[in-house]
Amino acid sequence: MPIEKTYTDAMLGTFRNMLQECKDKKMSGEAFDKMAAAMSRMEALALEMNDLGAFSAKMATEGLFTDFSTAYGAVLAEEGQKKYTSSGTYDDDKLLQQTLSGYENSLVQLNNHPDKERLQASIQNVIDLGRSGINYPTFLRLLIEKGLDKAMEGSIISREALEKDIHWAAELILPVYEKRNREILAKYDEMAAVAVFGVPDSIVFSMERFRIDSAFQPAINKYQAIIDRWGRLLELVHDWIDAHTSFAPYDERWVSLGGMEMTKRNIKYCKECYPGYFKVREDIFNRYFAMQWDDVFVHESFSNERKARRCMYTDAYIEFLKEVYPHCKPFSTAPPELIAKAEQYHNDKAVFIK
Amino acid sequence: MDTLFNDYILYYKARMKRWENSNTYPHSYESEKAIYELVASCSSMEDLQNKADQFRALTVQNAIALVKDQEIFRKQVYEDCKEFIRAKGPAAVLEKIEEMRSDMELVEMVNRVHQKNSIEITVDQLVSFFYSDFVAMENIEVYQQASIPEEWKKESEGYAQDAMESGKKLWQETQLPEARNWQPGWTLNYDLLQEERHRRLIPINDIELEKKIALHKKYKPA
Repeated sequence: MPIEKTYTDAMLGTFRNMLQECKDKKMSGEAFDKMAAAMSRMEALALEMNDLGAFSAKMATEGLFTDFSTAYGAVLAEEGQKKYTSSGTYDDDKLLQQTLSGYENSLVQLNNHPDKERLQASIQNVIDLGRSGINYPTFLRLLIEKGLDKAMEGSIISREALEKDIHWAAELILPVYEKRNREILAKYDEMAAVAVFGVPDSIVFSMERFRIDSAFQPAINKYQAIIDRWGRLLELVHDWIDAHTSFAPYDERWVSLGGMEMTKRNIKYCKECYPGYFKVREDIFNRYFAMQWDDVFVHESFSNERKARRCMYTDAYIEFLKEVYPHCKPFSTAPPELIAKAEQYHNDKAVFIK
Repeated sequence: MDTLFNDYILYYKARMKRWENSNTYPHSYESEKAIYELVASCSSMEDLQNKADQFRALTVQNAIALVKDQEIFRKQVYEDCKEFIRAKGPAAVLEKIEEMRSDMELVEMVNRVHQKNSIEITVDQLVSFFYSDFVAMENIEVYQQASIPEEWKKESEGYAQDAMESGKKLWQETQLPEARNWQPGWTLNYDLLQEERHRRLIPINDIELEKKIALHKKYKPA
C-alpha cells in the first residue's frame, strides 16, 4: 500500500508548485527537463514505497531534492538571462520591482512558518526600504549596510531572539543552557562591534554558534543525566516507604485491576525488591558521576530543579526521605515510626508542593 | 557622471567595504575590490556595458571566492571541534572549487557535495542509538544485579529478559532497517564511540563505557 497521501503531499507539495509555476510560464530546456525528471522520480517513489521513513531516506540518498532545487535554480537563472537579453538594456526600476515582488512572495510563503513573525518583519523591512523611493543600487547598498541582505535566506540574525534564548533558560532555571546562550549573545555582540556595518556575518556567526553549542553539549548531557538519576533514586525511596503504609492498598502505584490479592502482591514486591533496585541505581550513580546519596542535595542541579518545580517534593519531605534512606537496604523493612510519618505526610498532603 | 551610475559605484564600494580587513573573507575582498575597481574605472553604464565580458568573468570569480572563504571557515571550525565528518563537506568543496567555470556549475557542485555530506552526517549520528539506550540498559542491570529475596528473582530476571528481547526486536525489526535506508548494511561501529565528537556526549568514564558497550552488544545484537 502506498504511503498516505497526506504525508507525500506535505513533502512534495512545494516541489509540485514550483514545477507547475515553471510550466505555467511555459519554461523549457535542459534544466527544466531535469527538474521534471526529478519530480517524476519523487512521484513514482511516493506510489511505489510503503514506508514514510524509507521514502524520505530514498529521496535524500538519491539526491532528488538537490537535483530538483539545482535544476530549478538553473531554470530561473536562464529565465532571468532571457529577460535581460531580450530587453537589451538594464532597466533598474524593473529590477527593483522584480526583486521586491520576490520578497513579497516570500512573505506569503512564510505564513505557516513557526518563526513567521520575526522572519516576516525582517522581510517587510526590506520591502519598505525598496518602496521608499530609492533606486535599485541604493536599495542594494542599504541592504548590505543595514545587514538586511540575508533576510530572504531567513538567516537574518536577531539579537532580540538571542536575548529571548537567555530569558527562557533563566526562566526555566537551566543554568548550563543559560550560560551557553549568554556566550552566544556575547559572541554576537563581539562580532557586531567589529563588523563594518555593525551586523555580524551570518555564516561566521552560525559557525561560531556551532562551536559554542559543541563546547556546551557535554555539560548539558552530564547535567541532565545527573538529574535523571537522582530523580529516580528519590522516587524509589519514596515508593518504598509508602509501600509500608496503610494507604498503599488504595494507592494507584500498586492498585491492580486483578483485585486485592494482586494489589497486595505489588506492594510486597515493592517493599522487598525496591531496596535492592535502589542500591544498584545508587551504585550506577556513583560509578558514573562519583556522587553519593548525600551529594545529591548539595549538587546545583538539585536546588535548580526544585526552584523550577520539576522536583516537586516539599522541603520537609526531602528531609524525611533523608531519614528513610539508611533503612532502604536489601532485605530490610521500614521502622514503624517512619511509616507513621509517611502516613502523616500523605494525610496532610505535604509530600508535594501545592 | 549620472546619479544612477554613481549609486552603482557606491553599491560596489559597499560590497567591497563589507569584507575589508576581514580574516574570514580575504578572497572575497580581493574579488569585490576587482569588481569595484572595474566599475569605478567606468564613467557611465554604457562604458561598463562595453566591459560586460570582463565584468561577468569577475562575478563568477566573486561567487567562487565567496564560497571558498565560507568553506575554509567552516572546515576550520569543524576541525577545531573535531567534527571530522562535517568537515568532509567543506573539504570536498574546496578540492573541486578551482575547476569551476560558471556560477551554475559552482552551485551544482556545492549542492551535490553538501547533499552527500549530509548523508554522511546522518549515518555518523546513527551511533547516538547507543547513548539513547542507557536508561533501558540501566533497567536491565537493576533487574539482573539487585539483591532481592529468592522468591522474586525469577520475576526480576524475567523483566530483564523481556527488556532484552524487546530491545532486540526493536533493533532488528525497526531501527536497523531504518538505519540501512541511509546506508545499506549499516551496523553500529562501537569504535566510533571513542572518537571525540561522540565520546564527549556520553558523560561517563571509560570503564563504565566499556561495560555499557559489552551490554549493548547483547541488548542490540546485529
